[in-house]
Amino acid sequence: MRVKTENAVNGKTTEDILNENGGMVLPAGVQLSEALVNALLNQNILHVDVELGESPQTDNAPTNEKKKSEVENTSASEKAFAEYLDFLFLRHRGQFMKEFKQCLLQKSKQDS
Amino acid sequence: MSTAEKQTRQLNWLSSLEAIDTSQVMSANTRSLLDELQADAIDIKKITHILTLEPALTAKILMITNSPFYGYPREIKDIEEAVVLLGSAKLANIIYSSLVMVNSDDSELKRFIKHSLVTALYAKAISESLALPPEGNFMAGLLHVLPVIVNFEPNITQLLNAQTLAESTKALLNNLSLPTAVVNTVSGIYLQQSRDANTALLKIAFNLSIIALGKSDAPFKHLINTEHEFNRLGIAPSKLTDIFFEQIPEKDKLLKLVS
Repeated sequence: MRVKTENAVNGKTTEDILNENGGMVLPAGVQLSEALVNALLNQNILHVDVELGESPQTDNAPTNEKKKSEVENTSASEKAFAEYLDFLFLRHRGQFMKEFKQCLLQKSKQDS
Repeated sequence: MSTAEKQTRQLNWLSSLEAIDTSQVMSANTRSLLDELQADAIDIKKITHILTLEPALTAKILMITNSPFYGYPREIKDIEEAVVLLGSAKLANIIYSSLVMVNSDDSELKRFIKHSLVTALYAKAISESLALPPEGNFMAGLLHVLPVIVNFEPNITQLLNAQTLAESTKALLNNLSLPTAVVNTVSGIYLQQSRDANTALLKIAFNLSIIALGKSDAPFKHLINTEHEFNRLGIAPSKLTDIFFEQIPEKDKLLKLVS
């Protein structure tokens, strides 16, 4: 079953995983730990063919829990970005700097 | 650290910077290569020959060329092919990039390297949005903290202020035979009053880099006040915001080059 790499933790590869140059990254038959999944994502490998356990997660049917955690992660990163901007722009009171900060905050909310 | 201790350390650091053998920063071959790339008609064979004398530089060029940042569909294994594919302008940019991409496990040093690369990225993007020539500003972005990178010592961030950085620029960049315009742009970033448009652009790019790198990766914890620079360049905050977010995917690819 072809799934998003981020959903493949504990899955077992059913095909060799190749990088964009055709080189083998992992052979078939390997159980994917969280560390391996992160390593694959770092190499820009976004989908893999795996055999999952009893509760598979597929691309087309994200669980409510996964959605909830995505929303929480987005809110946390939005909050962290806003706090960082508050810190950086604290001493900058000019019109353009204030406007720039507001634009960054608004755009970060739109994109999340 | 007391003020006196700090001043002593700053002076010692600047002295050691002046004593640096610049051929260790940019070899004679690299300098010849950059001169060749500026010629009206580039000699691929000559450029490839010079590169064979610099295996470390060749390896860096191939690594950067094969990175997701450049996004070629297949691996480029041959330096001559890289030279032909990249062309003189991109190859020169990569060579300058290699000056700042020193190998190190030190997390503080890596922050300065990342900041150089991301400032260069934003300097180029802002230049292009304002229809200004991007190459000089890209180079200024890359090299504006080169003195810190080549003369790095642990906890160096504690020593750095605008004056020390301005003096470090004079101590090093003038001796590397870099284009005068680039050296002036970089020197201006550390001065409060600079009327140069390229310096204004570099200050804004510097800030975008600090914001983009985030709290854990930015080597500086403060933004430069660019209130006048917005006016100088006639760039709206909303436009700058668009540029900031448009370059985030490129920034992410670039940072993967700094392991």
